[in-house]
Amino acid sequence: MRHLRRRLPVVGTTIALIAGSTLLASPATAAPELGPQLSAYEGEPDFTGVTTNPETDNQGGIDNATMYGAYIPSSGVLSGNRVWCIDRGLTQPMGNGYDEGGKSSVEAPELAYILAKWDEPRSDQASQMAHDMAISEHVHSSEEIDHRDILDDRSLEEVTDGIGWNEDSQNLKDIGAEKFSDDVLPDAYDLSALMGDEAAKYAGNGTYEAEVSIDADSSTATVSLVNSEGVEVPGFEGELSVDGAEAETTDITSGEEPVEVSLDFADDVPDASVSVTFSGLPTGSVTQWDPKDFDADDYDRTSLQGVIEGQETTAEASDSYQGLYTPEVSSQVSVNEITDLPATVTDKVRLDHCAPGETIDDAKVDVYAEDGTIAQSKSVPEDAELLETFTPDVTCGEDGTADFETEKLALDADFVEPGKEKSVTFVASAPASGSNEAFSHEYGVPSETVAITIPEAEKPDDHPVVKTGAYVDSTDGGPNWNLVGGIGLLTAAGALIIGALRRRTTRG
Amino acid sequence: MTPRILRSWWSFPVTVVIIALICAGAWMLVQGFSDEQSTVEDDAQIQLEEPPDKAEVEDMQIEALDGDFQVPSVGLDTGLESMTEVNGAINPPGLHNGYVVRNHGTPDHPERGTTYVAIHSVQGAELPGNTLIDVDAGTAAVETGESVTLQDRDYTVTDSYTVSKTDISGDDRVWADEPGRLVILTCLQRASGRSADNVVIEAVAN
Repeated sequence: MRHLRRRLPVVGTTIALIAGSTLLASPATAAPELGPQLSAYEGEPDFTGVTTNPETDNQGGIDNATMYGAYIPSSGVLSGNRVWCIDRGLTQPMGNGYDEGGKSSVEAPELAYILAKWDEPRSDQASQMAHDMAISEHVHSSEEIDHRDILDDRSLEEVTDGIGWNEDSQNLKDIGAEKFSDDVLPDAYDLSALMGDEAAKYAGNGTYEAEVSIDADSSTATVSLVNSEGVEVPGFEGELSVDGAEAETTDITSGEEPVEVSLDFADDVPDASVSVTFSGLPTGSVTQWDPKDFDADDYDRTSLQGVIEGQETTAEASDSYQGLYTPEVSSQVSVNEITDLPATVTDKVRLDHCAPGETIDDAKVDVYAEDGTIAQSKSVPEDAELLETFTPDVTCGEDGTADFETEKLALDADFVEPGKEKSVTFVASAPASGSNEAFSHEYGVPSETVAITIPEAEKPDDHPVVKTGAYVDSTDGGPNWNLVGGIGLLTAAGALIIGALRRRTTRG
Repeated sequence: MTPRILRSWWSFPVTVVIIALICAGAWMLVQGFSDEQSTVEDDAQIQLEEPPDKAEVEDMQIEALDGDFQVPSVGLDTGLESMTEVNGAINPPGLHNGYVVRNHGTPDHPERGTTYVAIHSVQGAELPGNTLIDVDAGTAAVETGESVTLQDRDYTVTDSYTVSKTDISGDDRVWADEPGRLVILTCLQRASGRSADNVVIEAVAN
C-alpha cells in the first residue's frame, strides 16, 4: 500500500482525480445514475465509453469528469452497494453492466481493512468528501488489484489544471474552490496517511479473532479483537450477549487495549456466560467486479471500469464461568473435657455454602494431640502429634449444606498420665473438587478441641499401717462343753488312778 | 484271804470306771476340739483384730473388680475388690478377697507404679490369706520366682519379708513406687495371740 505522503507528486494526481470523483460521483451524488452514462449505453455495442480523460476520448460532459471514486449503482447485482472504481481513466458502466460472471475475490488485507473500517455512507460535506478521496487513493494504489489504468499518474498541478475536476462542478461550487483546496485536499492527505498507517498496523494477514474472558474476581468481562499477529484491533463494533449476569453495557467498540465490561453476577456463586460478536470486520479480501464481457474479443468493453467492494465478516467468542463454592466449616466435638479414661470422642462437622448435590472428594478429619492446652492457629504446629485421620464420605445437600460425624476416636486409659493435661483437636479439610474450593478448618478451634485432664488420685501424706490380722472369737459360741467335759472326765479318771495307787501302796 | 479279796474287789470296778472316764473324756475332748474347729469355719466367729467402723468402711468405697487374685503355688485363688486407705490404715473389711488399695501406688496404671493388694490372714482358721504365710516358719509361704496373677496381669515374685506392724508405715522398701511392681500385704499369724508382723511379698510384672 502506498501512501499519499510518501509519494506526494504522484498522489497529487490521484487526489485530484479522487477529488473529481468525489465531487462528481461520490456515493451520495452518484445515485441516481445520470448523465452521459445513460447515453453511453445507448451506443452499444459500438460504445467505447465516455470519460473526461482526454487521452481516451472527450465524450461526455465535463461534470462527469471522472468515475474515479465510489458510487452506488442503482441497478444490477450491485444495486445499493458501495463500490469503488479501480481503473484510472476508464469509464464506469451502469450498475447492470456487472453480473456474477465478473465477480472474483482478491486477497488484499490492508485494502480490505480500509474499506471495512472507513467505507461508510456519508454526505458531501468537505470533511466527508475527504474520506472517500482517501479511500479511493488506497483503492487505486493497491498493488493487489489488477488495475487497467489508462491515465498516468500526474502531478497535482497537472490535474487541477486539466481534467479530473473542474471548477464548474456543482459540488465544487457548493464547497467553494478555496475550501476545497484548503480543507478537503489536506484532510484527504491526512486521512489517507492515517488509513495506511492503521492498515499496516492492524490488517495482519487479514484474519481477526474475537476474544472474551470472564474475571470473577473483578466481576468483569474482558473483550478483545486481535489480528493474526495478536495485535489489538481498535474501532470495530461488537455486541455482548450475557447470561447469568447483568453487563454494564452490551455495545462495545474494540480498543487498542482489551475492553473491560463490568458484570453484576446474578448469584453469589456466579454461573455466567458471555459471548461477543464483532461485525463488519474485513475478511482480508475484497470482491472485484469486472464488467460484462470484460475480455470478449467481439465485444469491446475494455474501456469500462472494474469496481471493488468490501467484504465483511463477523468474529465471535464466548466464555463461561462457573463460580466456585467456598464451603464454610463449623464443628463440635462430642465432649470438650475428659477427666476419666478410657474414653471416646467424635466430631460433628457441618459444611455450609457447598456446591449443592456435589460430592466433596477426599474430605478428611485429622486428629492431633498436644501436651497441655492447644492454641488456635491457621497451620498445624510441628510438634503436634497426628493421632488419626478419618475419611468420611461427604456429599453436599441440595440446600448447600453437609453434615457428617467422624467415627469414634478411642482414647486409651493411659493416654494421659494422672495429674497431667493433654489436648486433642480435630481439623476438617478437603482439597478443591468440582465446584467446591478447598477448605480447611483452623487448627485448635475451641469447638473442635478436647481437653483431657486426669486428676491425680488423692494420696495420704504418710504411709499406712496394714491391719490384715483376724482371729477366731471363741466366746461367741459359748462354752465348749465337750471340751470341758472331756477334760473333767479325764481329770476324774486321773484322780481315780492316783487314788487307787495310793490306797494300794498304803495297804501294802 | 478276806483282805486280799477286799483289796481286789474294788480294783476292778475302779479300773472300769477309770477306763470309762478316760474313754468318755477322750471322746468329749475330741468332740470339743472338733466343735472348736468347726466354729472357725463360720465367718461370724472370725473377728478382725481392729475392725473398721461403719463410717470407715463407707469411706473405703469398696468396689468389686473384675478378675481374680491367684498365687497357684500356694493354692490361692480368690476374688478382688478395691478399697481406699482410710485414717492411715489399710484394713480390708472382708476376709476372703484381696483388696487393691486405691490411693497408694498407681493401681489404675500398673505399668507406671506399684500396685498394693492386702488380704487378711486369720489366726486359728484357714482362709485365703493364710495360704500366703507359714506360721511355723514365721515367713511368707511364697517363694521367689513363683507367679502371681492379678486380674489380667502376671507377675513373678521377687522377694518376701516380714515387717513389724508398727514399723511398716515407715519402711521405704514397702512403699517404693516403681513401674510394674506388685506388693502383697497380709499379717503373719502366730500360734497364739494377735499378729505382730506383716508379711510383704513383692513381685514384678512379667
